[in-house]
Amino acid sequence: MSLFPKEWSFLAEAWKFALVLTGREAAATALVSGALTAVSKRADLHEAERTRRVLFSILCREGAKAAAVAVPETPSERSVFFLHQLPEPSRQAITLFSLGAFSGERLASLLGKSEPELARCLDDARSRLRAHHAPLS
Amino acid sequence: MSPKSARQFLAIHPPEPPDSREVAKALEALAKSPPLLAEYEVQVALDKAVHSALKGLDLPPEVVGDLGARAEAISAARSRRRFNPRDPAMLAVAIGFLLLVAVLAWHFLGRAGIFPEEALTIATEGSKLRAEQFEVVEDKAGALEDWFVLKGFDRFHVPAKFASFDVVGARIFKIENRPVAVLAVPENHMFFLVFDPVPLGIEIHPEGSWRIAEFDYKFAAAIREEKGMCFMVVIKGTKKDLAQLIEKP
Repeated sequence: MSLFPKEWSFLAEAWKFALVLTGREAAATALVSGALTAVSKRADLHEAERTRRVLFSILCREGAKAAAVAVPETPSERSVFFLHQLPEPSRQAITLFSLGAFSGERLASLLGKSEPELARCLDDARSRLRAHHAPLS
Repeated sequence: MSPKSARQFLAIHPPEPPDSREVAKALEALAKSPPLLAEYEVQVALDKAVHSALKGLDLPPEVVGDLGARAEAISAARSRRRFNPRDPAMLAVAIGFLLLVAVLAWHFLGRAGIFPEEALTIATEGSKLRAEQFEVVEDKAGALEDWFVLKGFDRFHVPAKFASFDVVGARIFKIENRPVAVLAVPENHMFFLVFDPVPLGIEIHPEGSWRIAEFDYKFAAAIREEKGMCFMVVIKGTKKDLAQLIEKP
């Protein structure tokens, strides 16, 4: 069951995505909060689906600027640290793919990639995860 | 579908939902190649492990409280903005709005049909762009909002009539340090330009009406304002050519 109101149920995935990008719980909350502020200023966003897309687009753009974390501190940070260590754009691609937040076509569009480019990003992420995190393979 | 193309398809399409016909078809095709199938099974196992790691992640209660409250505040603000015709206050606002529209229409009547000079500068700059100055983007004009958000241009909007044109290139350039989104459209050798009119001092009233002008002896531009953004079409041709294009149903 979602912890958020129905039309905002995607915020849980958004926060998890932000946690992977920033590596810190507080930074993830600030990132999603900032994206919500940007969304709230948009008078043209009436549909939940469009709001979701724009919010994730903002997270992709702003999250890519976050500095890498060297040592995770909390259990949540530790549990996604293996994803946080991946390089971009593979990190965003595998995280959004695994969250199941978007279809393949939509995910490619969101990341500004063609479908073959997205496939290469995902393959790169999978190879790195297999190489460095044996329990995942 | 060949096993190889099925493998490529399944690299970006998860096996869920299980009733997806395309996925079922791809799995069927993949079964014909045991090595590719084995490779795919490794992928699925890894994807499931990553999915489980993310699914098992619990949001701290204070995060749920904080983000939930912000989301509810946005929803409340939006519903306050929604129009309720039975609300006397809204009715009064509507009448006031109509009066305002009438006054503004009267005020700007003398300016009708004038093509803003600042917009002509943008059209001239846009028409000078060469093909190699664009990033290759092959999509419909109306589907590029995400692309521009990623590039830092937040309010990209194309009128519905122009949304289905095929685009081969896109970019952002700056006029007076303000971003202008440009699309290269092969049909009629057109450029679509989208920008915020306010910082450039451009006003086009009433919203949705077109202004057309010729420039540099061989180009024509048509501009309109919609949802707070200006949309401009530039073609190599005359005002008459452009008028036919924008009036075409």
